[in-house]
Amino acid sequence: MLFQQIILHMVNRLNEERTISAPYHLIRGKRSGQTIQDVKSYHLTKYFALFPRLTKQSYDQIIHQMIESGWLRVNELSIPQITELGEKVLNQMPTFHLNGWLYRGNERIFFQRLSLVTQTLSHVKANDLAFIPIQKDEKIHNWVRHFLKMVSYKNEGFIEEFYQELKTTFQSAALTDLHLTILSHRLSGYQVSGVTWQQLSHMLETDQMDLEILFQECLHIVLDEISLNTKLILLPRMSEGIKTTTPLTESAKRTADLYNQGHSIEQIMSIRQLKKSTIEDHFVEMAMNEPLFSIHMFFPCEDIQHIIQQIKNQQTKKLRTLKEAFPAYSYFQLRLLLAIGGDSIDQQST
Amino acid sequence: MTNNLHKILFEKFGYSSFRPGQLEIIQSILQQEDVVAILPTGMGKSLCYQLPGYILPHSVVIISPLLALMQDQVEQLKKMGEKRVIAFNSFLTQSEKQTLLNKLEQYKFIFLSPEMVTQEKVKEKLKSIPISLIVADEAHCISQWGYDFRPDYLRLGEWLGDNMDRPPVLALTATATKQVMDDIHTHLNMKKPTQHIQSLDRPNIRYAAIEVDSREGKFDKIAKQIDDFTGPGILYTQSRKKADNYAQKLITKGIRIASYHAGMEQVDRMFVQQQFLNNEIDWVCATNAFGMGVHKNDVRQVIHDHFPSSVANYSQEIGRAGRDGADSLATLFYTKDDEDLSIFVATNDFPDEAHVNVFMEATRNGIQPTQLVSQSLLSETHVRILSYWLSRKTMEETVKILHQLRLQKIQQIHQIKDILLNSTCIREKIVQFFGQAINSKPLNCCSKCGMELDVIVESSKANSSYLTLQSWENRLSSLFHMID
Ligand SMILES: [Zn+2]
Repeated sequence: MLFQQIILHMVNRLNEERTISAPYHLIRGKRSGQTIQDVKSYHLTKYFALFPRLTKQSYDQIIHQMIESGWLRVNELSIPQITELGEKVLNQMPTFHLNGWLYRGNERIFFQRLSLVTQTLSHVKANDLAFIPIQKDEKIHNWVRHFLKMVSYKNEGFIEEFYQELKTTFQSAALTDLHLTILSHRLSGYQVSGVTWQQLSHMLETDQMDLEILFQECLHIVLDEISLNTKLILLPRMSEGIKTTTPLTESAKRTADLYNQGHSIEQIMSIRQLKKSTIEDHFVEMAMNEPLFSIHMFFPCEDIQHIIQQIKNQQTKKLRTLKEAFPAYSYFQLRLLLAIGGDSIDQQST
Repeated sequence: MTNNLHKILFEKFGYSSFRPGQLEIIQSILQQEDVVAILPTGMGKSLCYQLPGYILPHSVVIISPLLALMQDQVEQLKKMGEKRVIAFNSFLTQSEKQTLLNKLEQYKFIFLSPEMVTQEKVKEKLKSIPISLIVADEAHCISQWGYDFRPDYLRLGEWLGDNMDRPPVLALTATATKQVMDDIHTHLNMKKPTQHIQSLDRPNIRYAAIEVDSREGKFDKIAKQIDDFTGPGILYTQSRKKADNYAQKLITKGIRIASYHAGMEQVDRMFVQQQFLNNEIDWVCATNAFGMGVHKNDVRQVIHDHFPSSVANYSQEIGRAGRDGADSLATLFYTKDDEDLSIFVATNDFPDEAHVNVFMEATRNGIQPTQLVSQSLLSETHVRILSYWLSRKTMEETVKILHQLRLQKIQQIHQIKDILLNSTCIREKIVQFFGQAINSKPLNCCSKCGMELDVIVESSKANSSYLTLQSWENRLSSLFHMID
């Protein structure tokens, strides 16, 4: 149910200006210009990368069920629209402490570290180091090995300290018992087996997808808590590199670096061996995310604030409609304007 | 020397005695002989090269054609605390490969997939470092007559052939037919190998094939058997959906069971393994994805609700029972039309001429195969198989090979069905299939020879309760063994 409500929330925000695949790409955390623009302009930062491995098939199936239930309609152009009944369902949605845009799927890396450190310490405490690591990723293994060496985990009292830090963090007021039941049973250790999603779903009588959403929310709250609580020593080190420091995707970051070194779009294209449209996507991303980025070079002698106001008067973010109203501008220019404009709307609404 | 070997066996591996055949094989290896060793699956064949590894001065190179098997062996060695172990397969990136290659000689156990051996850089490096032993795991894969022929494996022979004063070679397999043995000798360029052949029969496993009238009737029979007789056990089924369904239905009947299949998150699959090993669940309801890496010795029952895809796969799967030597039961329930379903499952996702044409057409137009998958024109399996063959063979040859492989898949299902349905003794036929004759039959041998179930397996014990959830505080303190 939570998942369906989130879809309804997105459909509502997308204002009949995007197709039904837009929420899908956003939930999967697709790093394309269009999706990243949608995240910002429609205020959907919470849900970015909520289910990176969601298949198109299961998504379509859920959408189909939602149409059957009469919560939304999808027209012949694949544009979804929320129904009256859908709005009622949406109104029941709780407020989520999700921050997908900030963590971008990295919260999973944090959890992988946490689960392997927990498993290891549990076995250290039991004096039995013969175990098969619960995480298979070599990178996680190396990270955990390095971390444990750095904090001299064999010292008297280390495990106690680690345990206390977890306990303190879990006592955050924003976390519910359900959050913590899920999180603690997704951890395993010496003679303590983990519990599968299916089993949790069965025992908690809650839909599996909803549990996964709550799990994600729980990780975001835990990570927020770790960064705020100055008394913690070990957990902040475990969350190193998890929070996105540059709001840009990696590829856009590289383009931005080249641009800041003074290269032109054409030069960047040839250095990076990328298509013009891709580089343009990166500039749109920069326009959206970097407060100091100026789009003046793309509008040599015009009053940008004035054009933005005109665009706002159109009350749409649909590119095709805007292009008809402002044929003098290229699609790229219009996207840049939207990106900047979207940001100022952001500031007004929050 | 034997004393020393027993000492290492106990200190490194924690066993107080060798399984049949292991000691003789290890002694031959230490005397620098080429060895062909035939052992039933799951009866400790990896120990035959692991233990010598701790005596021989240099690296042991293990060629393993099955990726999952390779990963499992690496994990097992690491679990024992061995750090000098490396798996070298096509999943590594170019730079990771280079880094590892540079320090390859630092590793004691080097696992390679057959196609890696043929890469120039790897080949050169292997020539330059001291190697004490080369192991060909699943050696029957080198034979066209084997049930699991892997053409890449032939290149291993090319590599060994080039190498005049090479270290001894150990070939390990669970197949003893003459053709396969001959192929192993020739293709691996073995020098008068010593043969150590163990009986492939597992006398403590008893076989039953039971016909039922209908699909619904089948589930009831399975449920009754699980209810009546003891676990731990594995219930093998054909699809992910069915595995989930069965498990769900059996849970409501009070059975401590969990499902397991490749559609689940990797961590979830590990959790099911943990629960099974910790005896928190008695049964796992799984697709054929379950088994590799599950080292549980006291599995008492394996149940199938379908004909597996081959005799080899069947004996792999039932071979997971009774590794502790105690009596165990392998039961297969079937209906008359199950064979068609098994054939459908085995060939459904297998490419044919039409798929070859789609693939070639796309390649000519510069379309990526992955695009064909996203447009649902081909499946991922199609693309994997077609890329493999079309990069090695012409279009016509590929079509021919695919056709043959399809026929072979169908024939393999006929073979297992024939053994289970029409033989006079299931045990006898299975052992014959792998090239041996049986010496004697145990009492209650199989459903053909006649058997009484309750003599073989105990009736099920009163169930302790199924998983319960703890408060997060209690859960956390039990994870870290804190007493509050
Ligand atoms: Zn018999």
